[in-house]
Amino acid sequence: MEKLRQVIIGNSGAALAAIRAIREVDDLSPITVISDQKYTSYSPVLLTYYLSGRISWEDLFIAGSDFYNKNKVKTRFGSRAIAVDTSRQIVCLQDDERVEYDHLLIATGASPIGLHSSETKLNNVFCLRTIEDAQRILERARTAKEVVVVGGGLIGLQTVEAFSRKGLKLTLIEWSKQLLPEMVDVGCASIIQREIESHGITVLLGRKVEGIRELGAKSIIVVDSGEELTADMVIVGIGLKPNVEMLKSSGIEVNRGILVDEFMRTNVRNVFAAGDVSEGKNLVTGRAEVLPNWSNACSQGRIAGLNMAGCEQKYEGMSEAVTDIFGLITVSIGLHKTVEGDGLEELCFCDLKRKRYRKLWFAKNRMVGAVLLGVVQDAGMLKNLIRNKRDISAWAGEVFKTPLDMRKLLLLVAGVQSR
Amino acid sequence: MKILAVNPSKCTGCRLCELACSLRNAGEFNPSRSRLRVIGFEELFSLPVTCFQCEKPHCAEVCPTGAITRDETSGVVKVSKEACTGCKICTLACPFGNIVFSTDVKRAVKCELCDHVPECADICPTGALEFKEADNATLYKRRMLSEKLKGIYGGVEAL
Repeated sequence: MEKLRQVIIGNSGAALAAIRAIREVDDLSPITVISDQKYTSYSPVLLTYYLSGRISWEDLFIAGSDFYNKNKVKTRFGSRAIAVDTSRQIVCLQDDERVEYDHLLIATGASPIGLHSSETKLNNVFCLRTIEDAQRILERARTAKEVVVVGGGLIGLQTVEAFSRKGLKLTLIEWSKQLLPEMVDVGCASIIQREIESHGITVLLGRKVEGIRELGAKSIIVVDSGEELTADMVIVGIGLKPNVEMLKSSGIEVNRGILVDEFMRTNVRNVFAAGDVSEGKNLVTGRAEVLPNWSNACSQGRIAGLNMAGCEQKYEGMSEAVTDIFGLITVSIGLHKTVEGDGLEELCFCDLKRKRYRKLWFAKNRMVGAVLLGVVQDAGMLKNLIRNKRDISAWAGEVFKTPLDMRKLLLLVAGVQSR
Repeated sequence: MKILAVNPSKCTGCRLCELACSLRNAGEFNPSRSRLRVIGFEELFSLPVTCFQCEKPHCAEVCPTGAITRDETSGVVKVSKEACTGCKICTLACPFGNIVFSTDVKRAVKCELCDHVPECADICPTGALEFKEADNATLYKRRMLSEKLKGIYGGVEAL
């Protein structure tokens, strides 16, 4: 087998999956991992668990130095890639060094969007994406009494939950009219909201933050409704943007993220992209989208790795998320909202007393989306139905008659047709 | 390597396996806490379903803490009690719903073949569940089963 210099920029979910995949089929090609982080790999997924104290510092790391040794990976941690010269197949590093590649994987992830550029310098304003962010937040939380979280998405909700046990005064501000607007429908969001409020957290919906200013050690958050909130700490989680700055003038096509085909290839030969930095076809919507979720990153990384090693494999992503907010386990797969005129059918089940909710969306004879709350044992099966575009017409009537007992779903999962 | 072999034509749907499993793994007779499930359909047939101990487990591939590993000698896919943070990403990854989040122990649980003495196979009165050596014959039967399932599900005639 021909030896290829496999170079990976990035060191999280997609990068690790790619390393494993390459080594599955190719034991000889040298692999180099370049990362601006000075630590071995850790998962951003775990940071809120760290904030809440449920896991320790050591538990954050998902691959120790033994992983890189075992897989014969050369690591260049703490060095930032600043440009890619695709004509000469070279990655330029910050310290003027160059790394030549035969195949390059860009898995640089995404960074949090700030509120306004002027606020990034304020002492009390934080984002949560890196291990350093988490450390700074924990440090500040030691003396903080009032915390304002901006953004009612996954990060925002998990952050307020993490701090709720520390006896802080918490306020959550969300711009849209519901919590988790990118993940669930209004019905599910309202159940979650009630739960959050029952834990003494103030939720402000439909409010935009106009600005933040400092007053002594406090921050004043000015909301568009005219309200002013005071806080010792502001945590902003309003979305992510793919880390693509270094690709300017590289010739690699970028929309929001790096555009990839189903083989994770970019428009430039021998350059691949995977994870939160990439933008590929969403198999449910059919559109190119950035799908920043962990399992997508792992799957894309794996497919990129296999293709880099010469095994042709295809993959299309979809949006999916699972979280646990004060014990309410919530799952979202594929579509999570009805848009007027989309012609989708809906099936809804709601049991407010026992905090159970589910909504399923159908397009003709296949399922295209599911939002589950409370009872989620069948989430994997529903995902399989959506992902594999199973024709569900044969058993759907029978199976969905009892929407919470989905064990019979296996019929549909197996792709069985009735006679 | 031994595997849990399933023979649906012998399954009567008595669900003793679910009780045995929950007693062993959750300490109580509670089918909802069993790690395997018996799926009955219109009282025509039933099928015990549990983790297939995949060679390349979907659940392990996405675990952000590396808590899910497959023992190469025994073939058992296990969740580490210490390393699992309860993030539930694995529960979405398994296409068959064979790994679930336990609200009691706050982590992901799945069939781990009871340290090589599966209670379900032990108690099964008809031999629908058997724990036996993964020789060619057993593996062949398993493959045939997956083919046959389509026939069984497809209509009564195949029974």
